[in-house]
Amino acid sequence: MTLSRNPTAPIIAQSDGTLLLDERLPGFGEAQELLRAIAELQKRPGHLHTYRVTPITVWNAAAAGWTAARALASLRALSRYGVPAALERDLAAQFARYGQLRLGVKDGELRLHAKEPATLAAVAELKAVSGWLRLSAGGEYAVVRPDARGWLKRELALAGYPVNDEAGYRSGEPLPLALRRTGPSAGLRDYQQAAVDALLGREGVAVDAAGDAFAGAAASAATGGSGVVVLPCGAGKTWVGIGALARLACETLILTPNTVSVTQWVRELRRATTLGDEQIGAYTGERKEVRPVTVATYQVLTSRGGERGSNAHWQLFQDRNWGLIIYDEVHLQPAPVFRLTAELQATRRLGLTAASVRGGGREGDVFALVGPKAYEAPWKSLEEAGWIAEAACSEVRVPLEPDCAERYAAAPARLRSRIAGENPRKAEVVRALLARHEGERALVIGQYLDQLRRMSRELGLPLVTGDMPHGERQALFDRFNRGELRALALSKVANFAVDLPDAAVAVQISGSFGTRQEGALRLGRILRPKENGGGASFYSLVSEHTDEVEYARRRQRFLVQQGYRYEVRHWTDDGSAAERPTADSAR
Amino acid sequence: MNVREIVGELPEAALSWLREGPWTAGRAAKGGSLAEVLADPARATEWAGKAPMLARDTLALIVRRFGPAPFPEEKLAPEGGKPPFGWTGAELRLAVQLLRRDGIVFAIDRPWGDRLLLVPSDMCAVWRRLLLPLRIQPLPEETWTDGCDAVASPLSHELIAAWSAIRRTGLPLTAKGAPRKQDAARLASAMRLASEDIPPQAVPAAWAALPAPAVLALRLGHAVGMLRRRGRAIAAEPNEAAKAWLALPAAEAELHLLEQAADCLLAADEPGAWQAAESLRDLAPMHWYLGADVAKAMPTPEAAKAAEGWIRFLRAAGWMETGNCAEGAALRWTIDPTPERPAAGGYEHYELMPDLEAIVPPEVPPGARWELELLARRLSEDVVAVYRIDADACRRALAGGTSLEQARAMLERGSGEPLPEAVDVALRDWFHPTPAPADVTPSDASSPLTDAERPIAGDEADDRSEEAQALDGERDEWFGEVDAAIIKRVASEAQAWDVRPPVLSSKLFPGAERVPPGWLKQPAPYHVSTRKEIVERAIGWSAGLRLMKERAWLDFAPERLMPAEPGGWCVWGRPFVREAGSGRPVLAEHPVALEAAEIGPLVILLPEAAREDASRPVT
Repeated sequence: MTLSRNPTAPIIAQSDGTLLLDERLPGFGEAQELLRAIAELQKRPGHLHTYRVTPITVWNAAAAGWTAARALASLRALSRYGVPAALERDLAAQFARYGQLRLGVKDGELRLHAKEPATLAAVAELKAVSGWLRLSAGGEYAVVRPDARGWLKRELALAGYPVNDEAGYRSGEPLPLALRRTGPSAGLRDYQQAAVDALLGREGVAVDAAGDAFAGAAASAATGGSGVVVLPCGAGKTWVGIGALARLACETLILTPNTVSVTQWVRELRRATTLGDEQIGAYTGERKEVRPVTVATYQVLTSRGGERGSNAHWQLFQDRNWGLIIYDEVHLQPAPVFRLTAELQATRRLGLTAASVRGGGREGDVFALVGPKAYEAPWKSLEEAGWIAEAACSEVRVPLEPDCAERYAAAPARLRSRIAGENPRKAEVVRALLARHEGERALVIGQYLDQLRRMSRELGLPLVTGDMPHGERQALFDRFNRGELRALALSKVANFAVDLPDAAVAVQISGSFGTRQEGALRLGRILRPKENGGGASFYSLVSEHTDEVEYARRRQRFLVQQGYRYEVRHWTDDGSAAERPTADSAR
Repeated sequence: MNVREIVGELPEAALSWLREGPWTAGRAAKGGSLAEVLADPARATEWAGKAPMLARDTLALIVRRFGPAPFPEEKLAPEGGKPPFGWTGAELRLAVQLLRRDGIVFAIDRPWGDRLLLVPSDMCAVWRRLLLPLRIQPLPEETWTDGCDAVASPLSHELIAAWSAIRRTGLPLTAKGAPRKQDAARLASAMRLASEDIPPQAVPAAWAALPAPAVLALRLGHAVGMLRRRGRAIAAEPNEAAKAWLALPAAEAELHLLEQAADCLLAADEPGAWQAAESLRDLAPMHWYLGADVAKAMPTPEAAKAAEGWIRFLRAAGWMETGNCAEGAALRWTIDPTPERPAAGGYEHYELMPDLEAIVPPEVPPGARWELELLARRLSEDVVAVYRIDADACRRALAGGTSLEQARAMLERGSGEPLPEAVDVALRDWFHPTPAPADVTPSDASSPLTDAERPIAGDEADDRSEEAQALDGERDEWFGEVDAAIIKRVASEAQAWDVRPPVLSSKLFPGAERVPPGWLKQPAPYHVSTRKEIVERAIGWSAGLRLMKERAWLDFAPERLMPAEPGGWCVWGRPFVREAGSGRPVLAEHPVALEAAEIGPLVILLPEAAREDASRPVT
């Protein structure tokens, strides 16, 4: 049994690297700062937040200027049961690893230096990298093959040796542009500006050298000019990218997870910058525009075929002299794009991600190939400042009518989901919810077209499906965004390609809605602050005593762990969402 | 056996003279049972400070040589050599009577005439702390230990997980009364302890084929009262003692488990092991000590050797951690093993979060974990344990008879808070009396639980089968053939506590009433043949002599009579003087021989109490 050293300290440090933070205890703020620096938030249901220390998080902390002594002293002082020896050892070891190796350029050579000659010798013997290195005669440094810069960093990070890349970047083709200073969304918010500064250095201090192929040391000592910015869903990561683009004023390639994001980026670039339409290109399955600022999807880059067979679209990376590559939702980029990124290390890179969707085992690649974490904004403070809308997630349990319940019970397992999903009583719930949120724009999303068509007819909602031609679909979206339509019914397919920032209410009537991360991203889309200052509401209609309950519970757990409010209500026979047992916040 | 158990077996005749003893009467008069008086640590402390040195030394000798194990009285005085505290055998015999009178030592008469003495196990530990404390200094606070290797969770957590597994599935026994190998292996696989961490004597020969961790879980489960036999299976059904243990704060519960482990796992006939286990408890918690210092401070070499294995077990049990500093290997307690520790503070409840996970701090009573294991799945175990309320577990609990209200009550009791809404909703779903067919998997339907899955709280009607109720009679039987502790075995064989009052007169020494009283009263000159008789008598009683040699008085502890030339005899023994104050004999380092002719007037030195009382009958 571990004896308590300090019963009111807010952190519980565990030997497996897990750090629990109790937001009710004194010292929470200081502890949160510490953990945000040296660890990453895993979840925050209720008052206990769970962080985890990994080699990557420690290297990120070291890149931001933290030392082992400072981190350990703070952790000891703030830990209720002390710091387990295993964790102390790991922290000290990983801090010591950072800064051991650095890449630089001298006399036209890319060189790997080590603080300790023994480290360099050990690294040079690693089978995975030995082919890319040639030790100098005196053994002071190793010459690196220029095309192996990214691969070397990746393999060394995998082997536990992070590399500080100080070899600099090409400045790219200059692209004069400025941020618009007027309009409804003019200028960067303070945290967006802070993120840009953290990446590139403060304005006026930044180096934007031109001329040499390698522009020398990057502006920011901490990140080397490349890195990752972490912001909550709905906090405007796009604007950070645009801010970096404006600061560097160079041709830029922007990679995104899907065509919706392409549309969104193009729209924001037009709205926020002085770039003309002819300077902004979209590179998707439908359009192949390569312009000074080009927005592409990861998917199109990894699709095969075309005249050049595999990797037909990789030429995009070579087509122009890009000075910056922006990776939107950087942790979602597929492996082939990571591989390509390894070969683009002379170009500045900015990764954008939401805390809630990180994971998937890509952290090491992101650290080595895109860069260390440059900035992370705390969700709560952004919510308190009104930069993101407060979201309320509700699950409404809808009973099955007796005949429907009998059909459900008698049906084979494969048909039950559909019977539960198409529960006819959900229509009356949707009607009630739309009435409750009168004045707010709402989306009704479902998996089954028959159900959606019925709902569309009964409630008079325009229906958007995947079969609908793009132009027709976009016309409906535009009407919705202009406020001419109050609500839309969307199929699951359509929902994946929708960007309706003014939607304040989403009602999911059926379907599992893909992965938990996708669910969080979707929720994030309705989190943008509303004109009326109201929050966002996300409803899931779930048929009582069916499989849907457990599907919903998994989603509920994920959302609660992300810190969202979540409540369960029961639709009663008299047509009201009874707050049973209570409707208290689950947050 | 502890004081309470022994007192419970003594007849009234013995209890009456015990109550009247000088160290008992006053306290007994103030109320409280005799067992409470005899087991009172305050009385022990006073006794250890004020009792005659002879009695104190004798008790220390007993504790050091035999611990709580029974021993023949004749083994108390060593054969030949210098006795440990210098007291003569006669004095030791008297001391034993004093210790019996004071309810410190008890005697057992065995059927074939042997006589064994023992110190009750619970008080033996108290006497060791008072009389034989480990004198050792911790390393300075700032000492940094490298390679510190600590197990994050203590043994109780492992055991509760193992016992919970038995609660879920039961543990069938073979015809020979042992668990099946595969079941034991499955039980062991759920535990983190390795076989090599567990003292070999913990595994009885009959169970040698079973993994040691499983045997540990079963033995301690029975000792604590969590496991019992039900027909041809072992069931996890806490008895009253176990329920009390489950309610203890974690620190208390862990300490109780430590004591049970020492009782179960250490060979009772190896006092060194007991001595090591007890002496280690003198080390201050959370302070580092050098392993070499600890070994050196142990009261006996056997204890020093036994300490190594016990420390390995303590480390594996999560109660101690080891490391290395500049001076060498070091160790420290991570629990407070001292009986006089301050009340444990900290967190009595776990945190129940809206994502259905329970974060269990280390201070939480084991009962909370036991209940959580019924309703939740353990996800991780480190400084805190993380459980997740789980549909499968809840449905099993429902099938085992746990109601929604009981489940709610358990979680509210454990968390000390109203349930988060998400948890309440989940419980309503999973304890729904008529779940939709899709919610019941084939495995759910085919594995209704035994009575073992009932909650420990609640007073629902006993609707178990008649067969189950009929088996209640054998609930507390031990399962399997296990070497019971020698103390228990001896006690059950003998069934004959020596209830005679202590003898504090010359009757203690056979034939004393038949020798001329002058031999015992004052020195006098005797014929050489009488001198020989007196010396022989003294040797027979292991008593000292006072004799004149070369016109000086000499106290002498005779050991043996030897023939001497020509046709005479001499006596080998050790001269001694009495230590001022304590009266403890200080014996010469080496024995010497006294020729018969050298011996002038002499007298047998029977111990003081015996001589004073020689003329008075003992009642």
